[in-house]
Amino acid sequence: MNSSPFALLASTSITVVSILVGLFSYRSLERESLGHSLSLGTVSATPIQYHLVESPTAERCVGAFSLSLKPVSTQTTLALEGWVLVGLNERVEPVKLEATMLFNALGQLSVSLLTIDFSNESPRFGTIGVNPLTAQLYRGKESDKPLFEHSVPGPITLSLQDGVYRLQAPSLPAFQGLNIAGASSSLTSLSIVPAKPDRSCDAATARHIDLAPLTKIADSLQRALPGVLSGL
Amino acid sequence: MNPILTLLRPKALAFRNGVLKSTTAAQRGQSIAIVGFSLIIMGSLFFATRWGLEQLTKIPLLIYVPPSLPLSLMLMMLMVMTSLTALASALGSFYLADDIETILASPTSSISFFLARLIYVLCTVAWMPFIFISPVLAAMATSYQLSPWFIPVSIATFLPYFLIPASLGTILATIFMATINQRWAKMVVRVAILLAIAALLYVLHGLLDAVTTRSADGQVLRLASSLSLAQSPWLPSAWTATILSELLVPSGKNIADRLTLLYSSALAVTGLAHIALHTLHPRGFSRALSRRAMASATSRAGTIRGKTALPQPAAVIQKDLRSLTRDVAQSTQIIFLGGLCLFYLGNLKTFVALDSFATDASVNWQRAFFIIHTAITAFFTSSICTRLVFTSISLEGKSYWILQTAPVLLRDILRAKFLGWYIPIAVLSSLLFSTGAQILIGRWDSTLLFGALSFFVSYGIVGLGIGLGAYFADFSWEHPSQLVLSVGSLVYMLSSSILVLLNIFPMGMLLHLLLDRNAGLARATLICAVALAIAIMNLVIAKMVMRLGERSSATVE
Repeated sequence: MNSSPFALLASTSITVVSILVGLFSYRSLERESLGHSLSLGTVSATPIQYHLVESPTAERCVGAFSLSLKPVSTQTTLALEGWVLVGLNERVEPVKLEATMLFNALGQLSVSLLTIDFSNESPRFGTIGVNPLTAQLYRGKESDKPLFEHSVPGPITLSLQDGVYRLQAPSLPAFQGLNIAGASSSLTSLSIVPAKPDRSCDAATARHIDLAPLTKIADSLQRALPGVLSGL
Repeated sequence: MNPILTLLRPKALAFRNGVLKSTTAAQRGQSIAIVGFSLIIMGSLFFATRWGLEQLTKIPLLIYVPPSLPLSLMLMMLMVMTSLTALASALGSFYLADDIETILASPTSSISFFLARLIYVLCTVAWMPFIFISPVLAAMATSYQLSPWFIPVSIATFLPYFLIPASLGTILATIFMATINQRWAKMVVRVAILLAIAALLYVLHGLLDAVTTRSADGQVLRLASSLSLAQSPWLPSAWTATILSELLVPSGKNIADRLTLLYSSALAVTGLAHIALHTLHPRGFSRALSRRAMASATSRAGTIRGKTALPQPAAVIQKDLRSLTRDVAQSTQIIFLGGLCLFYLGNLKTFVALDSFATDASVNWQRAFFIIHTAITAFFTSSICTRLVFTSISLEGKSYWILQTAPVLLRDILRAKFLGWYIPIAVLSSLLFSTGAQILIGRWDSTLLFGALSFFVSYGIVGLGIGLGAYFADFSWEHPSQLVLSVGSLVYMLSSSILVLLNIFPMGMLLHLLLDRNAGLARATLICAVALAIAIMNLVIAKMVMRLGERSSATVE
């Protein structure tokens, strides 16, 4: 049998070029997964209290909430309960937040509901379905007809990776048109920090968030998701 | 003629003469029966997949199963099994085939030899899985919105998908042959067996811990995460699944990048395989030759020692065991299959997630998981039997005439072979069945019942292997891996799949009866009746097929 050194050289060249092309394509896939999948954060397995502060070093908070994950019972439940002190048109009031997200056996969000108690208003925001995921907004607690309804590709998933619960929306693109940073300096400085025993947070002593800049965020959202907020 | 085509021509002619050119009416009938049987299985797979997909779409609000999830799971398992088959095929094609010395002496270039043999390995490992995959893909294409690009792109996708394990098998076979000599090989097998026993004990200890603690926190999500393991971004099977899934249900993921990645990986592995072969083949082939010489020398010595000491069945079993440990391709497959078995047992812990489900839904999940576990265990048993039991008659090779002329009935030889394989396979299968039953049902009566039933299921599968192995016996092989990739092997795999499905249905009924809270005489009678039906069905099928094999082997010339 003839053993040509050129054949070996050709194989080595093909291998090296293929590895380089493969690495390039793999990096492209990684970029795609980063841009393609919307990461919604991580969740702790044990119930935990959080404070909403203007900066991680700030003494005074603007709100507090607790987040609890219950993987037992009927299905995995992620519950949020809390309040935020907000100010609009020189009126300062605590806004009560309550959210529940239910995940099926594959860790896909099947139903969710967020209730906001603010003055005499109690708007509800929820999602139903896995794929497509239909988002609905109701004006009050009793209203049956949604104010707006919009379907987006699902599912939103809660997965356990390396001991950390991750909330992701693999079918939703990461928000690129949403410009929160430019909308309000007071909102961008908000941080979520785990509550510490030596730092209390209650509505009487908390600072408030000025909601006026939210109109700018709404404009930004309108640009990022055209048609979604048209019903408002 | 192109040297690659020249090297491939004898293989193609052998296939044509063996399968397509039936000379007698009996052979023609056999060929028609095989084709008809394969078409029935393909049709069944098509309709079963469509039915399954329809069931999933009926509950869109509760759960969403994207096509990429079942595809990636199926393709990942298939790639593992294909790599194993490719390793055995590469060992045979590059090192153990009879014509290698002739080719090495001829003025053929090393690249032609490499490419011709790689194409042969690729064809041998790809044709059988393709028969199983194509109806599943066709069912998916008709259930989802069919893209006109689906067929050409899927063919273009499967070429590198199968080339990767074929090249990996070549690399592993080359390294194995070049680095491990005869004495080391025995040592490696012994160490592997010891490690396997240690790992088995460790895994069983872990399983018992999991069963006794039964901590449910996050188990549902762990299960979901385990399923998504098949979709890891670095797995070639996941790239293939995503490409096919995008053609079925577009979600905006880039097909071109994945196809490039698939082809570049296949080319890189193929290039590495050629480099490995170019540098290590002379050494590996030299060792293969000396190994063959040593094996025949020790075989002669063994025969002299064993002849007077052992009774007839034990002598046949001893001979089979010796042949198995001396055959590199067979013993390597055993090590890999053992590894797969341990991996599966280790991951059985995932099934302890049942407590996480709703009380009302838990029973349904329990049934579904148990049926999946039963199917995996039975298919695993038939996979072992395809490689070891089905081939045991044909492995007699050119020395089969000795058995024919010896003062021993062929029926007794087949029964001795059956006994030799039945005991270890039934014990392994019983271990897998009862462990699964204990984890999923958690009751000792069900563990004992399913453990005992597994002895009958194994009886059926091993009997089918011996019977069909004798019926499709082929003694003109060059290396044993050819037998695993033969048409007879396909018939055995399809038949054992049907037998597995026939067993799963009554086992599901048994589980339903066991979980029924209404205790009574009628329930106990039904349990006994179903268990008896499973036992009789397997015994009858094994006896019938073994008789068919006995008749067929008696007429072999």
